[in-house]
Parts: sequence; structure tokens; C-alpha cells
Amino acid sequence: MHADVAVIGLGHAGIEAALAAARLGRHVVAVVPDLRRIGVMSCNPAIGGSGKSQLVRELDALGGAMAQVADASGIHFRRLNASRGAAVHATRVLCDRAAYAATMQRRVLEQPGLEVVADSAVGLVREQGAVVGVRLQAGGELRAAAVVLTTGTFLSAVLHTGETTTEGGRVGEEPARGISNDLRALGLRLTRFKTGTPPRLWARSIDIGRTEHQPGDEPPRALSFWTDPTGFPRLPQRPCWMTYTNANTHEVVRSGLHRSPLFQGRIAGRGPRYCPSLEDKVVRFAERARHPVFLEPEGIDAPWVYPAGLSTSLPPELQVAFLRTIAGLEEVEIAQPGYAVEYDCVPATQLNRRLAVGETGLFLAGQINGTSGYEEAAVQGLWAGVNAARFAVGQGAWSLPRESAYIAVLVEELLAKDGGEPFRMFTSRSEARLSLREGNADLRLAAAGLDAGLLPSELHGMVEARRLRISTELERLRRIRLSPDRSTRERLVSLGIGDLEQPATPGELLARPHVRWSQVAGLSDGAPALDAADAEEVEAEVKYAGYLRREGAKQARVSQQLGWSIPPQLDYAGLAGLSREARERLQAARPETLGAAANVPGVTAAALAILAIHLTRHRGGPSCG
Amino acid sequence: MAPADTIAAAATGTGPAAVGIVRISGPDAFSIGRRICARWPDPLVGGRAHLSDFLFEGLPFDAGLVLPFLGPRSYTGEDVLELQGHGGHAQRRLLIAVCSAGARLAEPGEFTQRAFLAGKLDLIQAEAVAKLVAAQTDRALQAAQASLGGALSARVGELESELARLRGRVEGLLDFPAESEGAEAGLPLACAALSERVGELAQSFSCGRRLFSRSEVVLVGPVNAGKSSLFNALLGEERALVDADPGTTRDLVTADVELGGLPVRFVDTAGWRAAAGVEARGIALGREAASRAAAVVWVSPADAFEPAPQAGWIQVSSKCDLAPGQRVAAGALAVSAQGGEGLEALRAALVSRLLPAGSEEELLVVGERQAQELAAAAGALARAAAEPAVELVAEELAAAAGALARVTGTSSEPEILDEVFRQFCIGK
Repeated sequence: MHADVAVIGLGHAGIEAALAAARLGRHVVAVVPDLRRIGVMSCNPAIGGSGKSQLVRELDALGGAMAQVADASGIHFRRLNASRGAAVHATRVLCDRAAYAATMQRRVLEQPGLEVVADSAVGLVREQGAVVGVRLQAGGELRAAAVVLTTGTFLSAVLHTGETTTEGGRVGEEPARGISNDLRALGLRLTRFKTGTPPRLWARSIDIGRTEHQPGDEPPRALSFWTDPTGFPRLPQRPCWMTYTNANTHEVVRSGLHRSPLFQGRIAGRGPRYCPSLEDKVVRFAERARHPVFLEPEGIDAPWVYPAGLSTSLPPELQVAFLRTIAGLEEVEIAQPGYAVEYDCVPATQLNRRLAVGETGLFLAGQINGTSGYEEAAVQGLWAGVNAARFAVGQGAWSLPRESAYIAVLVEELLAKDGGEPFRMFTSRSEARLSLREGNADLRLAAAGLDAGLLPSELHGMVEARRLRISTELERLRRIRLSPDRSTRERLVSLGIGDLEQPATPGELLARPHVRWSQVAGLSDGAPALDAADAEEVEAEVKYAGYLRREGAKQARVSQQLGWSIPPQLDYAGLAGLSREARERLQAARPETLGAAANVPGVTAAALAILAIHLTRHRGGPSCG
Repeated sequence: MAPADTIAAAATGTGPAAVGIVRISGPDAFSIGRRICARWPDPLVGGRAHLSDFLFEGLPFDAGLVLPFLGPRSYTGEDVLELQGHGGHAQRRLLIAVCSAGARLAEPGEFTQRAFLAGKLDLIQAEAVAKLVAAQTDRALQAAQASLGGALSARVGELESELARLRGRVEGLLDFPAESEGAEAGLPLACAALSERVGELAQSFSCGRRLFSRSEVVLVGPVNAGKSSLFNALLGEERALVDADPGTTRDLVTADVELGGLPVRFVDTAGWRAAAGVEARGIALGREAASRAAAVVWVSPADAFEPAPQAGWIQVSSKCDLAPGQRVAAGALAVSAQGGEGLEALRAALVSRLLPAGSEEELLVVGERQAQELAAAAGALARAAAEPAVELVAEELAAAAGALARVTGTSSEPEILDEVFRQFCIGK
């Protein structure tokens, strides 16, 4: 069997990698042990959330599948931080777990150019230092010009529940064996991470009368830019419920800590600080009297409920015991106990900017790179998929600039530092949070999507039309100046905008805190009928204008600096203050510009500063001796 | 040119002197030493000196101490060699010998820059080195020494970690909206309190700079009030011409002195009266000098005292010896230039005006750049306190953190670092 691009695994990373490579016209063969495992949500049934919705919307603007599938299977849409500014709005969609996987399976199986093989990869085929394919369990080889490995949590995986330890990547599923050693043979260093999932509860055993009702947004807003508003939402909507842990819960957890594999030291892998197990929370945040628990339906008619916030690997009987101390869960029954999974991953500092292992033709994406989360995995899938597709036909690397996409921020951070724990996206990881909004991901990236061949031109056309609507409206709001005469002042007060002392444009009034576009739109002639998303973009551009200018100026200064050329004969060995690692890597890579140096893995900001200082000092400086 | 070269500089003044020191730093420091020194110890022991002849083109021209410091345990973190020969011509010869053996003349501040890059000093300490070199009084020396010792760095570090906690809170609010119950309460207050503390530190520069740059103290007053006599008395020497005829002083007369550890320039000016021509121009010059002075002393005779025309001036009731029993005007100091009475009180009043009491001298900001960054941080924190949108609070806090990081140099743009090290006038 032969392919341009082979994709191993069809979780969130593998799917986007396979779809992207196929969209670029390559012949893609994807290997997955069981077709019903395509697009499974291993943990919570949610897509999006803070830092993550931005990633998914960027993926969507580049033609990815995740947002559209979430819209098609969503049963609860909520915008987090809705009361705050546009830069931190984050859409979160609870999906019907079965519908999500089914929709995704259809999408994958219908993609032209993508062939799916039900088998397991058991090893890499190497020839002269290059990876030229994978060995399959059923026998034979799949040979490919590029191989994308997306093993998720399955690489040499071990499951822990209380004192029980079994091999596997998810309950009832075999781990991927063999590949770990092939990766080591390529010279890669592997490390061990862990993650966990909460128990699943029988819905009928929960007394929702004792919990807080949390409805979805009305009307719900789609996650994808391309979802047709007619017929959305496709599925009936369901509420969530909220409850809290309490002192008794924490007491039960504390009493069982000696039986937790985490605290017994049987789990060597590092877990994510940001998605801690309940055991972790009780120990590390001992001062907190309670932690929130979100009871999320697993589907429209699903009998199971997902208690977000209660990830645990305590023995099942203790899980029942602590659950039953929580309001609404007094008589709860567990359908499947929570567990921790420990797996191999490859610290991504060993990869290059294409998410590849040197020039071997092997690309890695998703949790294998040490990340956590469906969204983080999916965007890496796209990145690695595009690069594998290009590599397969001898084209150069593809990337996005850090200042225009969280996806690029994620890749850059992942390559730059080995955080020692699963990597999760946060909006604070970008210096340009105010301009990287979920609301403008299409405006930021559609052109790049079109150029790369990822986004059809009709979708790109829709984005350009939107850009024109928004810029025309921004222009209109600046055109006239209102005088503080009596009738205008009365009108502004009655509109809730406040008083006017100096002449001002409607745009300047919109810049005031809490003033909305709908209030100022009618102050000058020709107000367009903008939908909510366009109006929010106009508001964001006006309200953040001063900050965006500052951000832009800083960015310009940085870009200018990144263009500085580095003399080819520069002797890194003697650069004062440079760490040995940075020195060796720079010596080997010999970047031509400061920007290129920044992209050398393992070169830290401090190393860059040292390099930059030497370049400023020695550009035309005097010499002696 | 490869930046990773070995640098050398005269570490002592290059005029005629008994001892002249040349310092070398960089990867070739010891191989250069081996070529220049007739005796070279094997093995080399850091910090242990020995005597040797110094050679130029193979011939001895001087002899002195050879003092090696092995990197990274040296000032710059590199291999450092100190050669202590004779001063004057011998020192110049030594520097030439070192350069022709492969070293490059250091640029101003380059040794300290290397120390900073090697993580031996933070930026505050590096700037303190420049100040230390530039200090003209003991007090200035002490303040620079305290800064070099790390007291100011420690205070800025405290403020930085407090700011980091505040940022953590705000980021938590934004990234975990569902789980940050009550985290928003008290946020503006916390920002305002931190702004005030950072602002106080920035303010200390108004004192710190008095230690390093000369403050002008201008004497003004009506004609024949005895300004020039007072000027001479303050200096302890006859500098300005004194005469009983009014209007003797026309031009500005200046003199530099040390006053309570501060470098001060006294300026005597023409007395005020209706005048024309050269005298009128002299009076205008005096008024102008007063408008930009660090302190102004209003001198008016005790027997016909007129209060100062402007608030904030130090008032002196002069010639008090000529008007015994006269009541001293409220808020004025009685001074006799003749008998010296009241002179000490005036000096004390000037010192406390220039350097208000209560400023902790070990925590004075002595660099203008540091003061500007601190003021910028305080400003950003104040805006954060007033900002209702939490994502913009986060922006302001990030700006404040950036400014604080530039103070210590933990994160700095190359232009800033370069500017800092260019302040050095010697290859320190």
C-alpha cells in the first residue's frame, strides 16, 4: 500500500491532518484500529472555551472540520465571558457525544482523496534515516512520502483506577505498542505525561432539583463561521446543572489519598496543572472551601452525565463515596469510574517548525507533542497535515505569524520550551490578545487559508465581503462630528450614551465603556443592518483602538528587529552569556536573520536578546587591535 | 567582526601615576597573558597574584603584578586578567602590547555589559556601576554602592512578584470564568495600592538625582541686600565682588561646592531694582536662573525686610548683625554673612530642601532611565485601577510588568541595553 501522506490515528489531530492533506490534493491513507473510533471525545463532551474557542475558530477559518461538526452536534451553546470585552469572549459547545463522532466519521469517510484503513500501526519503517512508512498489525506496510503520527494518549499507555493498573489508552482499548522504541531509535527523547477523566454518572440517579440550572445562550451562536443560520441549531438544546463540592467531599478525598495512584507515586507522568484531578485540587488548594462541578449531559437522550471538575483516579468505591457528599448527587450511581491515563509523549522542543522530526518525513501532532485538549490537538493536526502534504511533493514549510494566530503562538511555545506538563492554551500566551479575537479569526486567516489551498474561494469571498462591511461602518462612524447642542445632548442621554461636552464623532462615543454599536448607529445617516457578529467586531475595533495601535507599533519594532541579518561567520562559541544549548543549536542552524534565529528550537528569548545586543553593538561599531 | 572577542582597557587613569592597571576579559585573556608575561604560572590559580616582567615584541619594558580570575568566577563571567604595572607611559605601552597580542580596546561599559549578559549583575546594578564611577561625593558613592549591592533590585523584585500575583488573579478571571468566584472584588484597590508603591520608588529619583547631578542654588533679592556677601560666606572665600554701592553684581557668578554630601552650584545674581542697559539684562539673567534652579534663596536685609515674591523660596533676613533686636520676619532665617550667624541653619535648610528627610538612602533610584520606567509602571497600574474592562486591566498590568522588567533588565530590548552601557565613559 502506498500514499503521499500516511496519518496514524484519527482522533482530533489525525482527522484535521488527514482532511487538510487531502484538501491539498494529496493521496492520504489514514490508519485507525476501528472506524467507530474516529472523532471520539475521550474526555468531556465539549468543544471550545477560553483560549480554545479562538483556536477552533482559527482552524475553521483555515477550512478545518471541528467547529462545523460541533455546530451540527451541539446541544448547549454558551459564550463564556459574555459580559466582558470581545477579546476574551469564548464560545463553548456541549455536544451530543454520539452525534459528534457520527458526524465526524461521515465527514472523514466522504472526503475525496482520503482512504481510511482499519488496522493498527505497530512500527515505523525506516530507510537511510528517513521514515518511509508504517508497519501494520494485520501484516504488510503502508509506505508514504510523509507520515503524520497522532497517537494521542495511546503510546505505551497505562490506565490507573485506584489500585488497579491496566494497559490501554482508553477504557477497553489497546495501547499503541512498538512505536515508542522506533521513536527512540530516531534519537528522540520520550517523556511520560498523565491525564485523567471523571467518572460518568447515571442521569436518572441525579436529583437536579438540588442543583443550579444553567441554560445555554438564547439564541445560541454557532462556533463555525460557515454554519448556515437557517436550521441552526440542528439538535434540540439541553441545559446543564451546577453544584459544588464541600468540606465532606474533601474529607473523603483526603482519607483516600493513600489509595490514589497519583499520591502513591505509581504515576510517574506529569499531569496538567490547569486541569487538575480532584485529589490535586484538595491538596493544592487546601484553603478553598468548595470547587464548582458542572453536570453536563452527554447527549440529547444519553443516560450518562459528565461531571466536569471531578477528574479522579481514586478506587471506584471512594469515587462513589465522595460523589454522594455533593448536593444533588446523594444517591448517584456511577456508570463508568474515573481513571488516569499515563502515556508516552515526545517533548516538542525536538521538532522543527513544521512539527517534523528533522528531514525524516515524520510529523507529530496532538497529545504526543505534550499538549492537552481536543482543540490544541486539532490545530496541530492541521499544521502538521499541511506541512506533510507539502513535504510529500518537495514544497517548503508552511506557517503562520505569531501575531496573527493563536495556532502559531501554540506551535511556537511548544517548540520553544519544554514545560514539563501537558500544554494548554491560554489567551495570555499571546502578546496580541486584543487583536486575536474569536470574532475576527476569519478576517485574520481567510487569506492565508486561500493561499495555502485550504479554504475554498467562495468562503474567502464571504470573508472579504464581511471585511468591507466592517471597514465601511468604521469609516461612517468617524465621518460626522456631533455638536453638544441641547437637542443632541438630550438625545444622547435618552439613548443611554451619556452627556456630551465637546464635539465628538459617533465612533468616539462608541469608545466609551458600556456603549454599544446599536446605540450610536443611528446618530449619523446610512446606518447599515449589521448582524450581531459584525456589530461586535465594529465595537472591538473602536474600543480597543488605542491599545491596538500600541500593539501594532510594538509589533512593527519587533518585526524590524527580526529582519536584522546575522553575519554568516559569527562565532557563537564565544558569545558572552549564551547558554550552551542555545549556542550549540545556533552554531548548527546558522540562521541568516534574527527572525530565523528565533525559530531555532531551544533558542530562548534571553538568548535572542543577547544575540540582538551583539548585533546592535557591532553593526558598524569601531574596532581596534 | 566577531563579537566574541577578547577586550582590554586601562582600568586606571592614563595620566602619570605610580601604578597603572590594564584589564583583559574574554576567551583569549590567558593566552594573551602568556605572550606578554615573562613568568606565567602553571597551573593557573584564580585570584592568586605573581610578579612578572611585561614583554613587548619579546623585550621587557615594565614589570608588575599579574592577577588572573578564572571564568565564570570573575567580574564578567569570562576569563579575566589584570596586569598592574607602572602608570603613565608604561601603562600606555602595556595596553598597546595587549592589543597587539590579540585583544581589542573595550568600548565604554563593555566589561559591565559582559557581566550583565553573563547574569552576574542585573541592569540596576550595572547602572549603579556607571554611577559609582561618576560619583563626586561620599553620599553619592554610598547610594550607588547600595544600588550595586542589590537593595534596589530586591525592592523592584518584590514589586514584580506582587504584580505577578495580581496578573495571575486577572488572568484566572479571564481564563477560568466559571471557577474564579469573587476574584474580581478588590482588584482596583490592589492595582491602586501597587501603583502608589511603584510611584514612590519612582519619586525617589527626585532625591537620587541630587546626589549625582549638580543642583543649582540661586541667590536673588533686592539690590544691596548682601547676596554677594552671603555667597562668599557660603563658599568660605571671596569670589564675588562686594561693595556698599548698590548694583555691584551684574553678571551671574557661580561656584561649585559640596553641601552636605550633595554637589551644589551656588549662583549669585544681580539685585532687583528698576534699571536699564547692562544692569537690566543682568537682572533678567538672574530671574531666569531662579526659574530653573533646584532651590532659590531670597535675600532681603533685616532692617527693611520684604517677603519673597514667590512661594517655595527659602527666605533669608540678611545683615542681621546690623539690626540687633529686630524681630525676624516670619518664615525667614536670620543670617549674618559677617559674623557667620545663621549660616549653618541656611545650609541645613538647603540640604533638606534638596534631599527631603525620610528618603531611605539605600533605596534611592539613581538612574533617570529607571525612574522613567518606574513612573511608566506606576501610570499603567493607575490606569488599571480605573479601567472597568478586565481584559484592558490585563493589558495595563502587562505594560507595567514590561516596564518593571526593563528596570532590572530581565526583559529588555537591545536598544535599551545598548543605551545603558553607552553611559559609561570608560571601559569599565
